[in-house]
Amino acid sequence: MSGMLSTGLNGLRAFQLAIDVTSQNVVNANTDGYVRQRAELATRPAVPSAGAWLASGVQVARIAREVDVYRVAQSRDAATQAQNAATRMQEIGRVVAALGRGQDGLPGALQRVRDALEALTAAPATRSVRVELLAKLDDAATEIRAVDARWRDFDREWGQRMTTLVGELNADARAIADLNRQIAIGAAAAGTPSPTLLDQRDQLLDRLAGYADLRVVEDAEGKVNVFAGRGRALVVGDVATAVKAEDFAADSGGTLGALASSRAPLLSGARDELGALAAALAERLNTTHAEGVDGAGRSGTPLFSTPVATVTPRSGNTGSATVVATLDDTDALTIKNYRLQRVADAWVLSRLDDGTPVPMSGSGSVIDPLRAEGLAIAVSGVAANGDGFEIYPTRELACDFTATVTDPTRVAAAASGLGPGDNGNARRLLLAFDSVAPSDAGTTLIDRLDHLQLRLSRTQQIAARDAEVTQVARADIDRQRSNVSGVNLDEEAARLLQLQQAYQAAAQVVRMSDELFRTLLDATH
Amino acid sequence: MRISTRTFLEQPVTDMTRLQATLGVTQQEIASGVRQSASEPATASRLGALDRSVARLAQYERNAAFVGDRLRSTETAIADAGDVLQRIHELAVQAGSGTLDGASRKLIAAEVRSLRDHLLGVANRIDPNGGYLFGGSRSEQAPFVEHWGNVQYQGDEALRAVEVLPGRAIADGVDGGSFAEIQAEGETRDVFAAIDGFASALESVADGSLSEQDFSASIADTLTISNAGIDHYVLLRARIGGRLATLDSCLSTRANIHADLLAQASQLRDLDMAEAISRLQAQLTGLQAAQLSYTKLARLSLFDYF
Repeated sequence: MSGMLSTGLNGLRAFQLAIDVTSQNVVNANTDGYVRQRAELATRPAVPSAGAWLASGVQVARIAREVDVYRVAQSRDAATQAQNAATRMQEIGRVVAALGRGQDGLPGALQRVRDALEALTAAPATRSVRVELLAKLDDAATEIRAVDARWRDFDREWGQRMTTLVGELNADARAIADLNRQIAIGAAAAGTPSPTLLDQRDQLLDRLAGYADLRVVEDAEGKVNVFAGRGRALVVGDVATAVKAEDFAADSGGTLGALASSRAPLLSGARDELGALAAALAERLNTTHAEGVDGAGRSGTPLFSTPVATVTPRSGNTGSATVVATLDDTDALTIKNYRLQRVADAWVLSRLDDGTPVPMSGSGSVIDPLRAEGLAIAVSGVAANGDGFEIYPTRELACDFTATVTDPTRVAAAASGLGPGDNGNARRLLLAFDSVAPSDAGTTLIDRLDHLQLRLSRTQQIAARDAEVTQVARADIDRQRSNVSGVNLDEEAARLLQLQQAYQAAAQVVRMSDELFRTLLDATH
Repeated sequence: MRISTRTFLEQPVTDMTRLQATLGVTQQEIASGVRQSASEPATASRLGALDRSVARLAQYERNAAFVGDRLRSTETAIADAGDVLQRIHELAVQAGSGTLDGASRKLIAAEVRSLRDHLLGVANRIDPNGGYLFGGSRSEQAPFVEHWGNVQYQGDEALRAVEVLPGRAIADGVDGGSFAEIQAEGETRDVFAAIDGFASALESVADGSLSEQDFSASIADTLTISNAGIDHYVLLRARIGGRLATLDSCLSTRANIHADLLAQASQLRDLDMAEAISRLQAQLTGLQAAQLSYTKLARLSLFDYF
């Protein structure tokens, strides 16, 4: 009978605890990051009694935290991919929009240069037509500068955003390290880690997964080691290591990877192309303009500023050499960047992106420069072996591209030797504008701009599709995760009813044991 | 399968948001009349190219108008020159009839002199944009200049070709030098010199310093020149007329190209309104059904029966 009483009382205690757990679930049904818990009931150890084993009631064996670690990992991967694609879609969209469409923006500005040249062929001596042409040339140059300025603004903004995000990432990493410590202490004291702290840590890890590619490894003590980006250790045990924005590159995944990839290769490549376009425009029109004469018989001066390549000496050069690179033949430019290096007393040129060696001709002097892929490279001073220079042929051309002729009488519309009413050179300018560059088969300047725009738009479209697909995948895996870890109120309601019933029954057991005891007492009196 | 209450309640909200986004796209299509697909990269690029082609045609149109104006001015000038030669011819016939006295011959001489000045004005006419019609590339200065009583040509024979269609250029005038050069009996004669000669002959015969016999020879010469001149200007006029006709045919070609470009652009850009409206209706029905089912399902809870 004492067995019966204690069984009943154990039951009451166990069901009380189970009801507490269920109530927790009910009230936290809408709490972010809450993982539902379940009281697992088990029989108490059996005791031998009258030659048989008799169970000694029920107990809560453990309070389980319902989590599927594989789904959690998948959901973080999905978050990394979805954030990456969504950010890329948005930012590439801005890069494309900066170019403008149709009659607005750069394509329209170039088209209007062509129209103005066409008008010049019809009325080469008319002042208003010449003024209009110069205005359109200036508009085109201004628009090229404006696009480049917008792009550089994006680049700056992305850099700042990366710094901010990395700051948050470091703060989260410190919080995780701190939680690691508390969880281990709690687990040592209570035998099981605090579910609330685990929920908090999981939420922080979920957020980090959006920033960059994340790898989470749990150790024997229940601490998580966190690696972000390309395996950079963020948290090891109780220690968080601060990372910098520069630690994240295009392949880091998440928002940081997306921002890094928007800066390079996407934006730097687009700037190279815009610069190459400006260089081609300048070369074609400048060369042709010089072949004509203006109303006073003077030869045409350059219509646009003459493009010069950007050369950056590598830090640590020991020689005194300086390098000047000019664009020798804009049609032969490949829109690649180069590294020029002094190896065994000779200059070696290679592409910056993949290291492909590029053969050169010439000696490198000012009168006989090194020539390769449309570039002429002149070296002065003495270089030491190992000295290097990076050459960006067109990267910084668009940002200070200007129209240089302002006096309408200096428009050289006439062919050499003829009067101001001749349109011979105006027609040549138009042909030069429309001419097809031999290096990229069948493209005029406007086609080229069109292709740049098309390529950027396609990249954005692919990112948009990625964004949609990864968003759906993320929602799907999150739903699966929630189906394991989330609370179902109907289920909890049913469980409450069930536990209430069990509690009442256990109470009946206690009452009955009391009655049996009384019966025995009454009988002995 | 077990499903969490939060998913159960949030999933339909996500679905409804998506439906609303689709509806928004359709609504925007209807409001703007532009297909959503027009902003896809390939289509947008194609539309950009079409728009540029239309803009180029507009520039060809302006060029054609310019050439047309100039050719019409040239045609009028040449017709006027033809009239001058016609009148010279009449005067030569009149002067050669042999019944005129000195005073009448002087009167004719005066008219011839004024006709010659008129012809010089015609030769130095300008187009509607201020350029001399017969100066070649020296369009900023009068091409025919009087020097010690003689008219000299200071222009050049440069002709300006202007594009009026892709790959189709038309010269916007005639070789300025040929305006005054008349081919008569195998030799090239200057029209101004010939008229001056006729006037001088009239004046000389009137004051007796030229014999009647030499005067008759001069009349015969003037008749030959004026006849050749009339033909010369008819020929020049026909050449200009031919160019104007070409210009007109380019106009209709341009109109055809223009219509074709617009049709292509419209096909890519313009929305099929009937299709879009029925699509909108279907999407609205879908959203309403989703909202209705949500309000019914969200109310279900076992706790209601406690």
